[in-house]
Amino acid sequence: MRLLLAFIRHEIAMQSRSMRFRATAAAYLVVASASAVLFALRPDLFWSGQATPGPFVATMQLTHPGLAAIVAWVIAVDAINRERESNAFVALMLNPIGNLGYVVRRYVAVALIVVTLTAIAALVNFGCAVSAGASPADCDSIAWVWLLWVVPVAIAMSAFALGAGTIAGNGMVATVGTILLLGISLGIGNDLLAKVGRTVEGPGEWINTDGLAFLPFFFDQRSTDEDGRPTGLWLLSQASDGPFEPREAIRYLLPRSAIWAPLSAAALLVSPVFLRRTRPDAKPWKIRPNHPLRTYLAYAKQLKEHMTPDAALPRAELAIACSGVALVALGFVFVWRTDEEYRRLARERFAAESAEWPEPTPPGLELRRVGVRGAATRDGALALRVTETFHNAGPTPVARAALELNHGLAARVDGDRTVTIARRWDRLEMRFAPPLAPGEERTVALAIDGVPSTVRFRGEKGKFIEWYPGIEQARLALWIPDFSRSHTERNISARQTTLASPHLFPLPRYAPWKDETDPRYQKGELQLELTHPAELTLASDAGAVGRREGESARLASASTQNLADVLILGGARTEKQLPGGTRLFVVRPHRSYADERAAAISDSLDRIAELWPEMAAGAQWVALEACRPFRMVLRWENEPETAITGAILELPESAFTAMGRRSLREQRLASRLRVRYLLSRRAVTADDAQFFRIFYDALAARELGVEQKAILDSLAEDTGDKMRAAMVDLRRRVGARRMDEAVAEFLSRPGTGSSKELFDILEQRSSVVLKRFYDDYVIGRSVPSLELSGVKFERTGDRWSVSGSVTNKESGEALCPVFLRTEIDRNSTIVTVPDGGSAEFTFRTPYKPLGVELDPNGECFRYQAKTARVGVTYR
Amino acid sequence: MEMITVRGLRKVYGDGREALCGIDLEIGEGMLGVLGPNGAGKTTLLSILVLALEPTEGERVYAGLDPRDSASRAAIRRMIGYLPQDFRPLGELTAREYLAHCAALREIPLRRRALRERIDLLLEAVGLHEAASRRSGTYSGGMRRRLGIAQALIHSPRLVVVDEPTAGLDPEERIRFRTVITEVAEETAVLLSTHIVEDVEATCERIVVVAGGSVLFDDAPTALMHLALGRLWAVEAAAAPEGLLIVSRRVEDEQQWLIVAADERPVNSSPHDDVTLEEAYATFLLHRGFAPSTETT
Repeated sequence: MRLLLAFIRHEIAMQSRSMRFRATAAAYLVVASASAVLFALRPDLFWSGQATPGPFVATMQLTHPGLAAIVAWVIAVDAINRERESNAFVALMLNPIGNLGYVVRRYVAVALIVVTLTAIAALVNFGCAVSAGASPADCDSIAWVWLLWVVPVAIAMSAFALGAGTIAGNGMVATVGTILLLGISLGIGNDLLAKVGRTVEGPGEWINTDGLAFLPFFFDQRSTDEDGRPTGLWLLSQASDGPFEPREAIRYLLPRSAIWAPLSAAALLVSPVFLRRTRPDAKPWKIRPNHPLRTYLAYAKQLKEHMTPDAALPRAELAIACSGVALVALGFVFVWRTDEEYRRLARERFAAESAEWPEPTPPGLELRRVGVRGAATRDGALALRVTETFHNAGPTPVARAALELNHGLAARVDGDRTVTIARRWDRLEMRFAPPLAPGEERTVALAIDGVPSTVRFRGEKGKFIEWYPGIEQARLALWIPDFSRSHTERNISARQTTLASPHLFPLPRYAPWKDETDPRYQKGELQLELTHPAELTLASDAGAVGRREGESARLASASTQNLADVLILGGARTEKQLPGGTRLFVVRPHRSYADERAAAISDSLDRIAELWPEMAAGAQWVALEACRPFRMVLRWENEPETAITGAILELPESAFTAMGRRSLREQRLASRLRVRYLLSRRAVTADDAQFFRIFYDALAARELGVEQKAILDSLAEDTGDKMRAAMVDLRRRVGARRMDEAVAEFLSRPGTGSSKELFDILEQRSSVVLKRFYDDYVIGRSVPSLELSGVKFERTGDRWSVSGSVTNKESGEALCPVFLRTEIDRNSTIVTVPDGGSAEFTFRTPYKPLGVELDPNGECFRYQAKTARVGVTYR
Repeated sequence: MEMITVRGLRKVYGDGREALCGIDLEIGEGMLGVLGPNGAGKTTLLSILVLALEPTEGERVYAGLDPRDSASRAAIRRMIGYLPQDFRPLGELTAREYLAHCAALREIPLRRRALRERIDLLLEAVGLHEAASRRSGTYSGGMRRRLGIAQALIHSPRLVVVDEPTAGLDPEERIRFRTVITEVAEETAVLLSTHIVEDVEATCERIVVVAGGSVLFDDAPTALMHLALGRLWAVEAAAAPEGLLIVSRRVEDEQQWLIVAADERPVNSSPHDDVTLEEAYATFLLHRGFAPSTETT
């Protein structure tokens, strides 16, 4: 210990006097702290105007591992080679300590310095977060990110660099050699592994080298949003403030570091062999002076002599050097086995999905009652006893049912010999022997346990069933993903708990498996009783919130609802009571936001009560803040919509930070709630789900008084915007009142609805033919582009004749109003402009015309180019 | 009692060159000078003695310890202090810090205060006390060598091995260094390897002449000088015949004389009885067919 302290003292003295170290350390601290300092100095850059630790954590997680790797490498390589390069290394020769003792002690000293540097950078981030207004108690994520993402990289990279520097004997050779060796060996190794369908990814993801690419982005002040905030910082403003989950982080990081961390240890443990404490004494090669490869052989000879191990090394040191190699082998085995495990899961899933097994449940078999009792644990496991009561409402006996259950959960029949189950991935077949007779009811008891989760396969894109066969057939390393980098996201965690029906009980499946969703509305009774860790707040869509009972909490509810749409949401949250009894649960750092957001949520709910009393009747809202999985620090992808099921209102985290004030004030929340409410009133086909979301959104927006327009500024608008604009036109055509009546009738009908059915009702109620509109703008994606042409103003006696035509330069039949303004009045006519054609119009008036205008109120769905002629003035 | 005993030490390098061909040597108290021409095998011998190189054959025993036993190597290393030929301290550290670091590396069981006293004592002894707080990177070549001696002595070794310590030093520094090393030898055994005969002459009571990888002579300097008596002749330079083996040149009464080695008296010569060690060493090597590489002040 005394010796180790001496090494540490020595290293500190040496480094603190080295200009190279000072420059490196200063550069590291400046770069690693700059974004945090910028945030602290400019709190106005926060979207919310208030600081939370999220952006500081995000910059750390994105940039600090990579920066720590660089600084560790530079300092360690410099440290080991400084003595050698200044020829002071000979003083080591006669020391009684062994090579290994020397290298390891130097490593500890260097690593300590590097880790201290990273700690200073983390402390600067912490200090900036606190000075910007974040509560110190909420900044634990900064410590976790430092501990799990930064420190291991710093420690490993110090070891790697110290080892490589010792072996190479020169800083530059060590750096270039390592890059080349790793790159080449990884490339060749992967080409060989590809022969057996495997690959191994490099350490980039562990070190988070991609994160470094964000650095310049953070400071780019050139591109700004409409409020004048730099867009680069906007990314950080959206960082999550959800609780940090160390176990999840470790699970994520382990396969990413399993080879590279042992490789670093191996480099360090092997390096004592090459400490060059003794004089090299290698048998040189004799190279013929006329040998055609003499130059290269001479280099190889030099390398051989340079790489001669130290003489008379104790066996123990050699054994430890070998153990370093064994560590890498162990890491490789771990990665291989993890890869194998995820491949097995992928194969299993593919086999299940491609088999289209089992046949869908016969429509007559209904799940009438479900009882779920059990417990959820801290590590995300569920142990449940589930009772399901099936009723055969059909005319024929039913011997089997298809059900869906999350693949992470195992199910077994509890003591009932009349029922057996077979399983493939998330698909169950329940066989009844004897079959359920028509009108018969049978209750099945099941024991369900496991960890409800979602597997994110490495490189998965689009639909799994379409993506996976390509992976199976791939022979080039480039196309074969390293499956060990796959990740299992648990549904129960402090950050975000989301339990849907298939995470709680086997849910009957009526639609073919190839359909992504099963639209059937499965009305039934649900008795739920779930014990869970007290630190989690869980709410069920029956409006119940878990209550603390000693060390744990209990969520209990009874409801009659769509069993396909059951939801339990929550996580580690802090409660805020809202007026009217609504309970708001937010993540801890957002306590300060709660008042402002609470007011906005209350306003939205009041507006809902005012506009749509049926929605608010008897509702006790539970509003929960939703966070993303831990590794998604930034949330630029798949922004989740506000979700509402029953009485739970789930708001994305950004509703509290980045988008909060604006989105809520724009009544988006009320609009979204209305959409979800209407969607929950009647199931619609999967193909029409998007249409109805947009259609209901347009309805709600009108009722909320939000300005809407039917004109698009660009042909490149997304489908949602196009359809939203088209709905304004639809309302003009059929009239607002008839549209409301049609929607009410549609919602009151039984079974699964479709857009075609809605349009049929609209036609019946309005007597307007909508088939062409439906084909062009709902089924098709047409967008007309209209323009006035050939407008003539002619006077015959005391009357005026105004004529012209409207041309459609794009696709879709348009019914567009044309207005004539005169000195006295305003006349209009509707022209039907065919797809790509034109239609003429004529006005006759006794008054002097002032001009002709094409759809001045913007009610006709179309694209309007800036140069389009939509008005002609009489001169 | 002998501290180091070397028997049949042989070293054949990887390229086939035989640097040592069976050396027997016993190293005890006092100061032992190792003389030899360039390429004689002196550095190889010293490297093997300080465990920086492994011999091809032969055995080394250090006060009863055999370095082939890896457990003994640490104890052997503690026994030896070494000043290599191209010694350079860590330039970022002061002499005091550097010695403290060396003391830590060698696991000296001294408390902080005692260690400080020892460092001060050594710095005083090597004449670096006043420069002790300066970074060693600013030292002259002679100061660095003296610091080198201090580091070799920091752990109170039983033997100090010094390799070519005065090469490249100016005369003043060389004399100063000799004084230091002589004082060291009063308390510690010193093995001084050099090709500068003057260093040995001034300091050593025993010399070993190594040439061609073998020990050719192992005795007191006077014995070497005795060997030369009757074999050296003074010849006036202007009248010297061709083909003489010239050992040295002298100027007396504005006349230049050549000291030549020959078994028979050359013509026009007179016996040279005022033999120096350098002349004796050169005569010895010439008689054995080796060209001496000497450096004189």
